[in-house]
Amino acid sequence: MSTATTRPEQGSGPRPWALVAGGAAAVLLVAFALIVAERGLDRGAGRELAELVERHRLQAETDGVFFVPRVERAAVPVDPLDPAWESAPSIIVKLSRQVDAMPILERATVSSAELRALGDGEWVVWRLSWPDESPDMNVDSGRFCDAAALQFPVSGEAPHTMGDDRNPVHILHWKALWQKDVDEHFQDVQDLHPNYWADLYWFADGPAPYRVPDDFSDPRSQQWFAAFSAGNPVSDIYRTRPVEELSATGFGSLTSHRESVSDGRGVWRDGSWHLSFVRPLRTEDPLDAQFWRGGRGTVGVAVWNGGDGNVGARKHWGFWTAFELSP
Amino acid sequence: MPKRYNWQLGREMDYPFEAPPPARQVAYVFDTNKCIECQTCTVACKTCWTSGKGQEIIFWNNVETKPYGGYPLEWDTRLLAKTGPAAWKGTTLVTPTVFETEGDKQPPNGHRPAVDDYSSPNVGEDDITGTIEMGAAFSGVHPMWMFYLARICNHCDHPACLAACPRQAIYKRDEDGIVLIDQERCRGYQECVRACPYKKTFFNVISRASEKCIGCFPRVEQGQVALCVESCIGKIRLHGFLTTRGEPRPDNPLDYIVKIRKLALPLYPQHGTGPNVYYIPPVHVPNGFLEQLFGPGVEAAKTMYRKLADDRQLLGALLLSGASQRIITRFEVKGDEVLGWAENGDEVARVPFTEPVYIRKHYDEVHNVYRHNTT
Repeated sequence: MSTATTRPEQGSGPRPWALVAGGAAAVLLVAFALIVAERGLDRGAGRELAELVERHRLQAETDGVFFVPRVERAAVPVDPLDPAWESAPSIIVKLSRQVDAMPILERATVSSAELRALGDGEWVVWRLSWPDESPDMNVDSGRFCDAAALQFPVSGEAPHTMGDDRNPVHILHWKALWQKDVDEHFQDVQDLHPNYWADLYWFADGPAPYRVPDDFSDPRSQQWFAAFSAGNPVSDIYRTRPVEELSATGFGSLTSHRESVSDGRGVWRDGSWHLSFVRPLRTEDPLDAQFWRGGRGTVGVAVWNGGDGNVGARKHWGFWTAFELSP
Repeated sequence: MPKRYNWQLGREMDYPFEAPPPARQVAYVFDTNKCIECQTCTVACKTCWTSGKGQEIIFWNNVETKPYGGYPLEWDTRLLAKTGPAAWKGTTLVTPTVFETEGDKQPPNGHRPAVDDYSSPNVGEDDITGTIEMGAAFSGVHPMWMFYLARICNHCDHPACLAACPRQAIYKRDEDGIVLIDQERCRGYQECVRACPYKKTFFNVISRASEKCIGCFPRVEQGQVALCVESCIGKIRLHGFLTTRGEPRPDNPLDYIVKIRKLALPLYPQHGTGPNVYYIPPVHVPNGFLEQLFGPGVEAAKTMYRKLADDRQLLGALLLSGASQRIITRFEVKGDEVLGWAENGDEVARVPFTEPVYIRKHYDEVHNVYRHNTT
């Protein structure tokens, strides 16, 4: 099986796709020192590694590839508002309306997003930020939430249009609704409509107006949760993470992974969303994109403005952005 | 976009998918002249299928008052405002369907109701078309009118919900044409809600997925009529199957009423979805209004309905409404009765054309009480 990031020995030279990647990357000067400190390397080995990192960084810069530096684990910020992100390299990803598949996005409200990334050699954290005047964190009839996604090719040839039959992509999807589920509680009817009333829910426990999932533990009370009972991942009333992992082989093929190791967090502050996506470089899952220290890969970004009716294919997205992980 | 023939429009039309018709098509005849809007159907459906959390404002079955009522609010007039009125040349639709104006990068022409539009399912209930002047007296024919319109999913031949779903999470069953949303696959984009001209798909805020009338398929698979049909105390509903691969059968009550006699008409056929709830138009309502709702066959249907007493085959088929919990697939008029058979050959209905009348004494000697005439 081919992989998303190329091994260092295969990917040291310039590649055509790297030329289309926008922006040059800057590296944290502290990275080298931290790596040395973490590994307790002797002065000679440390110098050797530093030179290797610097060589990769310069080559990445020459190729127009976004360089993801390596820092010690404690220095990898999971909080998207962590000040450490300010000194991490960044790239501006241009976004445009999705107009390839039905239904297209009729109006663009986001033109770009800022992407940053840091790794520790075993994990990588992506930080995505984009402007949004107001957070939309819940859903209802005709109401949608903000969301974002990163996609990685599982095979190097996958088109940015969510892959194709032979070249699947691996997607990390965050939704503001799920963040609210995790930060507060599962968003229930009374959270949307505080003054609503219903006389009865069969087999529910506890006092009215009843809360999902606590008052619906009796399996008989879950008979009307058809999508949940069918195992639909969007209907998970016990959600613990705001990030979902999915695979796709083209439009309309999005499928959730039953098992997921990715996590993340989204925070809206001062007119912008700031998200972190956290995942290990390597997993045992053949559906996952895999990464190597010193390897190159590509990442795609998508953003949904729920307040403007963005949902599903009605989204903003960008072409592939090439990146290289620090050796 | 592929072309499909729509028999209700008398022409081919665009539709994003090619597919053969199902082996047979579930269909219903609703007699609007008999409906009293008791909502027993609504309650039967809601109690069974949509009484869970997140389904508070979801009614797979509802009964509304026309012309002003509608659930969700103005579901039909908002689409008509976008499409304009339908125009027919004879029995052929001239104006475009919802599939023929948006191109292949947008879903069918539709609109998305706001959450408040679901909050008052009885708006317009019992409202008539005008006010009655002080001192007015009834003198033959009321100038004002209203009627009740019972609505469920139409399990369309060419479903707009299915056409709109970017995930192909909606499918039409080959065995009976029932249209279902795959509850495992739906991701709650609400494109189906926007596209369905009848607004009979709904977003569930707890499931975060869309839901719709399932045509009581677990009952249909056992040969039983839908709950809304069985519970109808006015016996306005007849549940059966239309022949799809071959000529309509005169001994199939649905084929006979809908396809052969054309007494019952589809609702808003101009949208092109091929809806399969067929309405006998209310005979007291002006044709101008009804022809936008039911297409060009209104006057012929009304005339036929007024002469039902002399039309024993058609009346016989209609008498099967509410006559059995089993789905009747074959019927025959014999003497003063109409007989109906289920698919397995069981006789499941035997209805007399004239109900026997029993006249009882004013005084009941057994119970020592006087009987009161309450009719």
